[in-house]
Amino acid sequence: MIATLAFALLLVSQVLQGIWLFRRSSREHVSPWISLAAGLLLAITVVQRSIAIRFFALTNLYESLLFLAMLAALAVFGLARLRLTADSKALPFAMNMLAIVFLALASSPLAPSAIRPPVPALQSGWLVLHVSFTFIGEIFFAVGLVTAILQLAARDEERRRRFDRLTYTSIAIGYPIFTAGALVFGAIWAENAWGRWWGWDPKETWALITWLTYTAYLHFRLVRKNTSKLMPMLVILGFLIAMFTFFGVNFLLKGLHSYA
Amino acid sequence: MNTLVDRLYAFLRSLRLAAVLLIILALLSVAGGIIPQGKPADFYFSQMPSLARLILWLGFDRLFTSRIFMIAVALFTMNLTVCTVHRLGNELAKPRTMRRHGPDLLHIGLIIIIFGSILTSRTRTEHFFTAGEGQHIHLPDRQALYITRLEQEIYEGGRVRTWITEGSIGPASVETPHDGDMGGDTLGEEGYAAEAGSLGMRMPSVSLPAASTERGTLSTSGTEPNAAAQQHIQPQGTPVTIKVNTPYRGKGYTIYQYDWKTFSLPILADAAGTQFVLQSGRKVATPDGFVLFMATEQPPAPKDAPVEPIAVFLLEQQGTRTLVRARPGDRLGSFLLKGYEIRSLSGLKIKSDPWFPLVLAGIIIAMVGILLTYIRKLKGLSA
Repeated sequence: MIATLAFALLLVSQVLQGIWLFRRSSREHVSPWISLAAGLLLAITVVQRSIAIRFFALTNLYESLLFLAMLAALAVFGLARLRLTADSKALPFAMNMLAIVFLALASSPLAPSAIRPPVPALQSGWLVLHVSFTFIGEIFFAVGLVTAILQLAARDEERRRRFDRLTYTSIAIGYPIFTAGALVFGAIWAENAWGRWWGWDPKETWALITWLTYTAYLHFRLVRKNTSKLMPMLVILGFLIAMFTFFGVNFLLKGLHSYA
Repeated sequence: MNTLVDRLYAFLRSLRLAAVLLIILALLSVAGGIIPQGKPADFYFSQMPSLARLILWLGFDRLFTSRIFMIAVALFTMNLTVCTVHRLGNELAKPRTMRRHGPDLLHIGLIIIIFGSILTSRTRTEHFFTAGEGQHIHLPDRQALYITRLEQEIYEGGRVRTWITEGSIGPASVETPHDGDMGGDTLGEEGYAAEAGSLGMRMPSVSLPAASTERGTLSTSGTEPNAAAQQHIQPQGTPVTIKVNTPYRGKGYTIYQYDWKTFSLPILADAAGTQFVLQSGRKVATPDGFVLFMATEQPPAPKDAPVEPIAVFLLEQQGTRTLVRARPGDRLGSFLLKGYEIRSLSGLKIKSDPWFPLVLAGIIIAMVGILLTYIRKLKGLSA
């Protein structure tokens, strides 16, 4: 019920931002607050489920999607507070859209919403760190995705540079968080739970591919600065791989992470 | 002075080479992520006939240990090492306040992780066991884990909450079916035949405490109970509790709660009220034949819902044998199926990985390097 209300609020925010896209005013004051309210409602849902299962509710696909939608909704507000929406109205619009997509996926049959307590291997503080840091990193990658697309679409050099800087900043923030979450905390958890810190499980392999792609981006940027189209394309590719790691591996490839 | 060595050095420390190698490693990993790994050759010929020969020729059926992948990793490590040495030299030449060691630490951490993982892959040993209460397992340090209590905690809905193995670690003294030298493969060869466990790991099979046990006293089934496994030894030792996510760390090894097996043994009661607990393959005599317990079947039920199994018996009466499926309350010749006795076996993994601390050190150094690098960069961006 609360998640449905959050979904409705995000739709309202989306409509307001859609209208704002075609208006001349540089700021839109209402929609970030509506997205914030939606994010907080989703946070309440996460807390409610956590109380119900007596563990942090990040133990299945539905809960993961709720958490991601919450982060995306909060990011809309954060971007507005940082005045980054002045650079592009498309940025909060896209992030809000992403939150809606995550919630829509959460309500699909792919992600059963039944409250079920976690299986033994999932009851670890390292799992909470692993998943939450990975998702926070991925939200920064999502911001990078939008700015990379805007960078590719920008017609003048000044705007391209500005978007390149935003892309780089979001990746530079997301990269250490993602590294810590997906690889480091994941490895520590796996070592603690199964006695092996790396096992070339499909999810691990694809997380490594995501990491290698963003690492390549950061290295290419040192070499080629911001004149090449290769770099925004790497960022777009990186996010697509990150999303495949999250969804595709779950449904297409079997492994130890098939519950996630 | 553009000698071959100079050019090789310049090539190896090139950032462009690093980026290209990262892409190559990513592409190889994509192949390894898509192609099922470690399957027999027949699998590739049946599942992907047009690519099977190429996959096997390239060694992509075990991609992450293939020559191509190893060459890419070796080149990457060389590039990383040369870059690190070169960069470190440059940084050390700068005044102390101008130095930026974040990337150096990150690279050193990665080099340590690569070397550490090669060492762990060559030196780590893993042994899997299933054992019940009263049994013991030999450990690498000439000690033994004596299992005194197994507990499976269940949520209200029937889902497993956790598995707990309690016992004590003390000097190894008593011979059991598990006895063997942990340093070698003796144990592995002894019992790694049975496929077991929800995680698909191979577990050694363990004989149960008794063949057919009359409650309270040993039965008269004609089979001697397994004396070694029957012993409930509780020596003076260090008490240990092993749970999922809470392994026991001993000297040079770690014990993980890896799996769990629960099974039901039928309790048969004769006309006099004497009860017998039967293991699979064991029988009790009747006046005109016998009742042999074969296995239990799980009737279809919603996931995680508790459901009572159906016991399958071979019943012989006056020379005629029939297969009987029975539920509690059903009669089997002169016996009554009273119910089930639930027994558990704990799946334990004993791992020895002397080089893991090196990998851990590499991870910590790399993380410190990443944080230093990007905190500094972000400060620069916001300035």
